Amino acid sequence: MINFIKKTSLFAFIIIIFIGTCELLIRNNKDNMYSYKHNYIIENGNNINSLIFGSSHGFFGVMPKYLNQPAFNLANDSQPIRMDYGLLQGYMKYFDNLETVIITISYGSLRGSGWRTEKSAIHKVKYSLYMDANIDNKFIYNFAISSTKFFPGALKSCFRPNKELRCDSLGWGTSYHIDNKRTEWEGDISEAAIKRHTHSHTEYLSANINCLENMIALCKENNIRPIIITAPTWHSYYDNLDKTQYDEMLDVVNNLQNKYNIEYYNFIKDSRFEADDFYDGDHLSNIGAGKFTKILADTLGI
Amino acid sequence: MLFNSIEFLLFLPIVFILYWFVFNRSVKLQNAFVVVVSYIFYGWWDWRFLILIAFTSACSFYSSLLIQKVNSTPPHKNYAKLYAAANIIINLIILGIFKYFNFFSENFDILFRSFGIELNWLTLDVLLPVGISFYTFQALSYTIDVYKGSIKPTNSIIDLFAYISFFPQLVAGPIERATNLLPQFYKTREFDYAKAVDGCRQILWGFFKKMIIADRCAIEVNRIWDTYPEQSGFTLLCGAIFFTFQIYGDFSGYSDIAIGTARLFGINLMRNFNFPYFSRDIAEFWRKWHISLTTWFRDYIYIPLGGSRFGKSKAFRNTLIIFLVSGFWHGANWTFIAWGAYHALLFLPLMLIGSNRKNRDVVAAGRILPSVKELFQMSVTFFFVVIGWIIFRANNITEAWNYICGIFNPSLFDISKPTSKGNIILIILFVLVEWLQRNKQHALQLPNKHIFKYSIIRYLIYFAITISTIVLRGQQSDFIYFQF
Repeated sequence: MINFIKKTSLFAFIIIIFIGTCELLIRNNKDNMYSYKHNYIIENGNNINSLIFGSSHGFFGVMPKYLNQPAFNLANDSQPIRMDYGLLQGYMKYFDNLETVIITISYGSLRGSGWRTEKSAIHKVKYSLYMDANIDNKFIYNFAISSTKFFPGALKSCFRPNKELRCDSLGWGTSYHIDNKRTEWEGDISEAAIKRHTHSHTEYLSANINCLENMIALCKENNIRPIIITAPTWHSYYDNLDKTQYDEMLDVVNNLQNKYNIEYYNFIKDSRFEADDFYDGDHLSNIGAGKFTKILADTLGI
Repeated sequence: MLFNSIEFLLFLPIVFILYWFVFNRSVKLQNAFVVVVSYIFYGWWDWRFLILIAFTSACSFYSSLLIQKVNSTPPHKNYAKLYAAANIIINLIILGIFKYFNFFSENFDILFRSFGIELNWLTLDVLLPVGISFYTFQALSYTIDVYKGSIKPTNSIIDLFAYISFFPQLVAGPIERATNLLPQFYKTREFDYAKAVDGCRQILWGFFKKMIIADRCAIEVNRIWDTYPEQSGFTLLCGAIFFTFQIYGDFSGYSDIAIGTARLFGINLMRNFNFPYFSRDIAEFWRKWHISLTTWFRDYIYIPLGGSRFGKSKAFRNTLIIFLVSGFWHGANWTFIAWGAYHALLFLPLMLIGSNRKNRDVVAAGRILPSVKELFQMSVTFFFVVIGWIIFRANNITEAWNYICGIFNPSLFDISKPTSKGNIILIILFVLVEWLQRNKQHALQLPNKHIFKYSIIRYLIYFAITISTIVLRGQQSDFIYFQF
C-alpha cells in the first residue's frame, strides 16, 4: 500500500511539476497583445485622454493615432460589453486624465452571450492571465491550464520567436490590411458574419444592457464623457440584418441617450465609405479605419 | 461530480486514503463510508436526487426481506411474487415519471389530436436525475435475484445502499448484478497492489478516451450536426464517424474509469466494452458493446420471456422486444426506438441463418493483421454501426433520414473541404493501439516483453498519455450516458 502511494504520488508530482513549468512559461511570456496593452496602460495611463472599447469593429476600426488627443484602443476581437466594463473598472485607477470613452456597439453586441458560456473560457483566461481581468471571478480562470483551447497554443507560442502583436503601439488591430482582403469578402464572409451576429433569443439582452449602463455610470462618476458609436459596414452586411434585432439595438441606445444624456453616432450605413475601405462586410480595412477615425475626430471634436 | 473535474481529482485521493487507513477496521465501517462518499459524489449534482436513490434502495431492501420472510413460510409463498412485483412496479413508476412521462403525454396528445380529440395533457417540468436508469436497473437486479433465489437478501441496509450507490459505477454503469457486486460488500476488502496499479492504468486510458477522443470529436460533431443541411456528403460521413468514436470514447472511457476506480477500492466490476468496433457481425458487436446492459436484458427479460426455448418465432419476437426496449431505455425519443429497431433488423437475419453465435473468439487471434475476409466483415459491420449512430444522435427521425440522405450524394466523393485532420490522425492512432491490445481487458495492459519489459519505457508511455490528455484535451463536457 505504502509502495503504491509512494509511486502514484511520485507520478503525480512529476506531472504537477511539468504542468507547473508550462504554466510559468505561459504566464511569463509577455510577448502578446494582452500583456502589451496591460503594460501600456500601467505605464502611460496618466497620459491617455481617450479610450476606445468594443469588439473587432472598434479594434480594427478606430486608429488612435488619427485622434487629436492621446488615445488608446482597448477593444479586441469579440470583446463583449461585459469585458469593456471589467477593463474600465480595473484600469480606472491608472487614468488621471481620461476625458472620453468611446464604446463601440455593434449589431450583435446586445444579444450576444457576453462570454457567459463555457465556450468563451479561452478569452477569459487570456484576460485574466495577462490583463488581471477575471470578470467571472472564477478561480480556475487564473490558470492557463483551465482552457483546453488556450493551453497548447500558448505553450507553443512560448517557443516561437518574432511573434506578431496584432496591434500597433496604440492598440489598434493591424491584421485587417487591404492587401490581405479575400475575394469572397462581399458574399460568403458577409453572410457568415450576419449569421454569427444574429441571435434569435434575448436571453442575455438585459444583462448586457445592464453592463452598458454600469459602464456609462462609471464614466459619469469620474467625469468622463461616454460616447457610443456604431462603426460603418458595407451594404452586403447592413442590407441583410435582422430588422427586429437592429431596431432593438437602436431602441436600447436611444433609451440610454435619453436616460443618461449621452451621445450616439451611428455610421452603420454611412455612404462615405467605399469598397476599399472595407476588409470584409462588417470590418474596416486599414484605409477605412484611417478615414473613419478622422471623421470621428471631427465629429466628436477629440 | 464528474470524473473529468478538479473536484473528482481531489475527491478520489482523499476517499482512497480514508478508506484504506481510517475506515478499514471493519466491513461495516468500510461500507458505511462507501455509502457516505457515494452520496456526496451523487449529491454534488443536486442533493434532491439523493431522496430518490435512497427511496429506491430502501424499497429494494425491505421488499427483499419480505420476499425472504414469505418464502420461508410455505402458506404465504405466493406473496413473494407480489412483493417482488410491487418493488419492480414502484421502481418502474419512478423511472417512468422522471424519464418517460412527457414522452407518453406528448405522443398520446398527438395521437388523439389526429382523431380530432383535444386531450391537453400536462407535461412535467422535472429534472431527469442523473443515471436513474442505471441504478434503477441495478436495484431491480437485486430484487429479481432474491425472488429467483439466486442470492440471499442482505440483512444490512448499509450493504444494500453501498451496492446500489457505489460511486464509481453509480451514474453510468457498468450495471452490476447483485450476484457479483453485493457479496463483495460482505467481506473486508484487502488492498491488492497489482490490482490497484492495473486500476490506475485503466483509469488513465479511460481519461484518454473521454478527454482526447470523445471531447475532441464532440467539437467537430456538434459543428457538423448544427449545420448538416449545408455540409457535403463527405463532411457528413466524417461527422457520423466522429460521433461513432465520440460515443465509444465517452461511454467506454467512463466504464474504464469506473472499473479502474473500483479496483482501487478492492472491488471488481464487470467488463462493459470489449473493443466493439472490431466486430465481424452485428451479433458480435452486441456481445462487445455495453455488455452489462445487454446481459441485463438477456437475463431479466429475454430468458424470462422464453428466450430461444420455444421455437424460432418466439425467439425472434423476444429478440425484437429486447432491441426495442434497449433503444427505449436510452431515452424518451422515437430516435432511440428506431435505433433499437434498426439493430434488430440487422440482428434478426443472423438469427434466421443461425450465425448469431459465430465469431466468439478474438478477431485475428495470434496475428497482427486481420485476413481480407475479416477486414471486410469488420468494415461492413462498422459501416452499419455508423449508420445506426446517426439515428441515435439525431433529434428526430426526419433529421436522421435527411442526414443519411445527405451523405449518399455525389458530394460524398468531394474531399476538397477537409474536415479536422487532427481528429482523423488521432482516431487512426487510437484504433491502431486498440487493435494491438484487443485481446486485453484494456489498451494499457502492456505485455511484459519487447521494449515494454523496461519499466522506464512503460512509465514514459504513461507520462506521454497523461500529459497529452491534459494538454490536448477537448472542451470539458458531461458524459453522454448520464442523460440515460
